[in-house]
Amino acid sequence: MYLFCISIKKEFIQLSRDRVGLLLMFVMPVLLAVVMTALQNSVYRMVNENRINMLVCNNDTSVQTLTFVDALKNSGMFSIQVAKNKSAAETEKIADDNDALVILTIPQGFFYNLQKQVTQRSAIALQGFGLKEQDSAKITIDSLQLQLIFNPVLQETYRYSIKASVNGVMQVIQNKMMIDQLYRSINGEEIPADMAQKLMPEAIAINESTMHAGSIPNPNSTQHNIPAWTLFAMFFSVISLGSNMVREKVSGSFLRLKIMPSSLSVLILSKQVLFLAVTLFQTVLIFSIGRWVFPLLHLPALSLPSSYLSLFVISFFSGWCAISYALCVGIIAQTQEQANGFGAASIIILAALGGVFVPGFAMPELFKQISYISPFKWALDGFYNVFLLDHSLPHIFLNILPLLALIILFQIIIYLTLKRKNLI
Amino acid sequence: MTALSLSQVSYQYPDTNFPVVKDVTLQISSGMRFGLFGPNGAGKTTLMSLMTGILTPQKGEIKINDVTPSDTMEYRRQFGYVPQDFAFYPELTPVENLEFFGAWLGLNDKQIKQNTHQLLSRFGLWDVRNKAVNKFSGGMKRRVNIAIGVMNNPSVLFLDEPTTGVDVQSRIAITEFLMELNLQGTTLIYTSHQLKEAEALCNYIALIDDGKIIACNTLTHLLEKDHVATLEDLFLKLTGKDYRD
Repeated sequence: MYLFCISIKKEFIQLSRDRVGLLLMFVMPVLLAVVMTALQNSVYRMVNENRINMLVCNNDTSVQTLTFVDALKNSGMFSIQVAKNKSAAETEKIADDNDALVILTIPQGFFYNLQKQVTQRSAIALQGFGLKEQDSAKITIDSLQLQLIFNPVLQETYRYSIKASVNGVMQVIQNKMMIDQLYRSINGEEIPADMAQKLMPEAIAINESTMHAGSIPNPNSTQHNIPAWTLFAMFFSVISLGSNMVREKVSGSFLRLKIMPSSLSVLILSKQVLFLAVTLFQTVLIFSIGRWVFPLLHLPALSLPSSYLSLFVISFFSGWCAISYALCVGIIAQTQEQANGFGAASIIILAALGGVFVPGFAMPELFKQISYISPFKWALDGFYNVFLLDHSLPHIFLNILPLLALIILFQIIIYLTLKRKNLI
Repeated sequence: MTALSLSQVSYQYPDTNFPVVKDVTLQISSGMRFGLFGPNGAGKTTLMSLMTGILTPQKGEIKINDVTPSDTMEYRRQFGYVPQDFAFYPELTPVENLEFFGAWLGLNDKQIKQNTHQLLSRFGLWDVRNKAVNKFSGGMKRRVNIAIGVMNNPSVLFLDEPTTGVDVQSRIAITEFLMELNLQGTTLIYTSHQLKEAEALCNYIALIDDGKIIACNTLTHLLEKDHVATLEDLFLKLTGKDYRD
């Protein structure tokens, strides 16, 4: 036990004097968590809270255009400016001056033609119901067009959303015009306002909730970024621990220890115990920053799960897996440059595959399959299950199992490599 | 009394065609200052690795104080080892290094403190005991390296080029320390390319070439037998002047 304590002490002193390693294990992940959360949060806000600037270029003089523009304003998606009877070049200039991301052009006589189309459709409907004699002349319906001009920076998903909103507003107006026209054609008078109100279909209410009872109601960028960058921090111990192992091998200390009357397994164990404690400390530190410091930076606070045991268990196995990987790299690498270069590059690739940068569901099918080899995938899924779905210990067992398998694999590689290099 | 004995020891590295150590037999008595010399690639590092248990011979038997390497931990308690490399932790202070390696040598806290004070004082390192070793000069690092090797007062001490790259003062201090240690009963087994230094330090010499011991006796006997004046002359006479690496 004395030897174990002395070994832990020696590892601790070495780590405390490794400034670069500490910087990479603590400062870098915290900065990444803050920066990435802030960036993603701003995108989230832009989509969900900010309105898209729209310039309506109105070349129609009818009164219905006002109703249409009001309906667009009331949709809640747009901040609207109206320009009347402008040329294409003038419209684009106004759009640029007002940071408009989309221009909606209403052509001259659009609503007159729409009314005409509604009247034609109404006539077809009445003939179909037998309320009007068949007309010998065939009724033809002209197609109508509105024009949307998008700023090139707008992504495809925004374009679809804008088109859907304009279509939705237009649909309501068309429905109302159709009801008015049908009533007028049948009764020969204008539809009373209360009747029009009753006949207009109300929008169906959609109740929104999140899957899995007990889960956190509003997942946000913090809930993703804090566990993701905590994992990144854990695995970046490869720089400190990997280099530490290589230095020990290259300097001959390892060989010196090998011929001393104590077992080298104590040294390997002490490294694992100390660095495992470090990964758990990283977890506590980064989670605390997410919980208490993020709100001070106007970022969403981290919502902690109800099961702290599940959180500890998934953190423990993720940390152990990270340490085993770091030791593996340190044992195999011949030089510090190899350990640092391969260690850092492999962590970034594994993190990308595991869904730290882009969520797994957004990956191409091939990469989804490859992602199963990444410990980040299993660990991150485990954290999601704990954080977003509030799963208890038995539910995260399936995430822990692959991590445990990877830990065993890494430990076997460590043992066999030490044996092959005649170090144990 | 025999401190170290090798009987018909052979060793061949995996994936090679020839053994690097061939049927070596040696008897080193307690209290000897034994020097093992040979050109590069002659097999002396391999022989040292076999004696310290880093490598296991395919043939033959090695004993230190009648303990065989099969009794692993007891065998390792019999000797100290000072490698040519600075095999310690440069980011740690001398005290922290000695504390760590002392524990690995099986010493308790009290013994570690006592030996640390004694050795660092003896090597003139007590005043810098709390300074990281990576700030030390080559000579100071060499002395730390030796201090670690003798922390457990071993009865047999293996030294692999213990004075490489040090100034005259440090070399003399190290040599004097080793002589003192020998007077207290420690058997020294020493390899080096510094033949003048070896001549002053060693009283028994073995020359190894091509994996075989080609000469082994007291220095005086070997010089007289081959009619040469110095160890260097003897070395060149027996191993030739051709490059070996």
